[in-house]
Amino acid sequence: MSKEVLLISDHPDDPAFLAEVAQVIGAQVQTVPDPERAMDQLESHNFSAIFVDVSKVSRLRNLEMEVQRRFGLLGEQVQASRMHFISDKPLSEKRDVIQSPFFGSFFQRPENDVEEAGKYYGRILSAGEERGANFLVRLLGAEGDVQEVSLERSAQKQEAAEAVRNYLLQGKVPARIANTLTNVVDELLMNAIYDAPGDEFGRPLYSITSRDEDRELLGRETVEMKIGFDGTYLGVSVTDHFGSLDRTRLLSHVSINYRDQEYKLRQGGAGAGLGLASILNTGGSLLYHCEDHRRTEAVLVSKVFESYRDFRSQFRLFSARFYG
Amino acid sequence: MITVNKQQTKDGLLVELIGAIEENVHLEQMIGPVKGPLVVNCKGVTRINSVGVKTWMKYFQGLKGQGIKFKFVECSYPIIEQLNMISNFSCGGEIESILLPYSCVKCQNEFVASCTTAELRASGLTVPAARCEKPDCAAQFDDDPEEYFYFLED
Repeated sequence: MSKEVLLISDHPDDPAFLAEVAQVIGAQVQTVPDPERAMDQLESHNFSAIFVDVSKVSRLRNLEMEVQRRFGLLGEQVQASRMHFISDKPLSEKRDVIQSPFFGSFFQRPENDVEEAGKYYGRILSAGEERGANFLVRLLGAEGDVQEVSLERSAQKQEAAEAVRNYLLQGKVPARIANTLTNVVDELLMNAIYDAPGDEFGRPLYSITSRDEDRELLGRETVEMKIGFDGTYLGVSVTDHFGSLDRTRLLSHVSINYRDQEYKLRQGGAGAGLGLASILNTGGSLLYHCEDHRRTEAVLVSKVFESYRDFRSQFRLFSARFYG
Repeated sequence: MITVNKQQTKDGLLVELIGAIEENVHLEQMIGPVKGPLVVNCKGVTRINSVGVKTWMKYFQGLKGQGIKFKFVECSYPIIEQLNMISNFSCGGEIESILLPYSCVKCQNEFVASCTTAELRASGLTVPAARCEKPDCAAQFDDDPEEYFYFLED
């Protein structure tokens, strides 16, 4: 039986986007205009992905209510890891949807190049169908020539970030884009080295450690970084072996907005979600795959452009998938 | 890692920051004691990570607390990005001038032009035209003006 995806939307552009996604992942699309009419479909089908237009937050709240009424919020029919929110605004302006128990993946509806955006999304979905460490290899394929390095000392973070920068500059990526992407990798590495490690009770070991203090990364503390480029898309993944990132913390950092509130300094080495906030402001997609107590893989994927303006306005998504 | 060049001028201590502001940057040690006005040239700042942001704010909030006047000149795009993302990133310092990024649609040449914030405000935040050194230059502002000038909006 072929896979099926559900589209809950009455926006005229969404079916064309979904058709591209479905073609890449080999699925059929069922479309309903609103959450009320989605319930029968959800009951009788096992959808591998559910796309819902959340441009109007009332639609999302209706979906939550209908699901709760029909299946209960813990029902198998709707799980956050299978949910894909479509919006007419970027995530920075749609913070109301982050608190939804169904929040899994989010993207702003592409205004142009719908076909390309749909294919890209399909590739991301397809690569994420299997769990495990090879997401980037599955995404970029053999052409991506994915290379891997293990960090065994915290001081190697800067070398690794610089290596990424040099890799991009050698690939003729404009300097500003290279610096921006390098900063994202820097933040992902810092999270994996300092924020991920915890003791047997899950208490953080190094969250208040000075970030310029060198230490060995032994055993589970070893951090893996992969990088690949298939000629169009660049991918960098950073993996820790703790799987300690929890959904509430990640999504609370996503919802921070220091434009409207002052940033207050606090003790310790970390920056109160500043790193994640800066990542989300850049031009790439950010995907988190978190396997509880096993591993967290953070992946940056970006199309490489000749101008920063195009880089910044590229189609992108944010995804946070958590597995028990 | 950054390099810090210092020069005493009639306007006060001029400090030039060159490189990436990261966890191993200690501005207090690198700049040393500051008694009078401070002018910080940020033209050479290539990137700043979250620990660098924290270091930056701790240092300049400290200066502000001591009543020392400071201003930033030729702010590069990593500084502009932080100014746009964090409402109190300047810590009360004046942003005197910023760098505007351009790229040529013909030869993909990237370059920057300096502009004072007073000139930008006077023009209603209009992007000034700029040319690189090539005769057939077709340079365009390489960002979204609304986003880039967000921190200048009242």
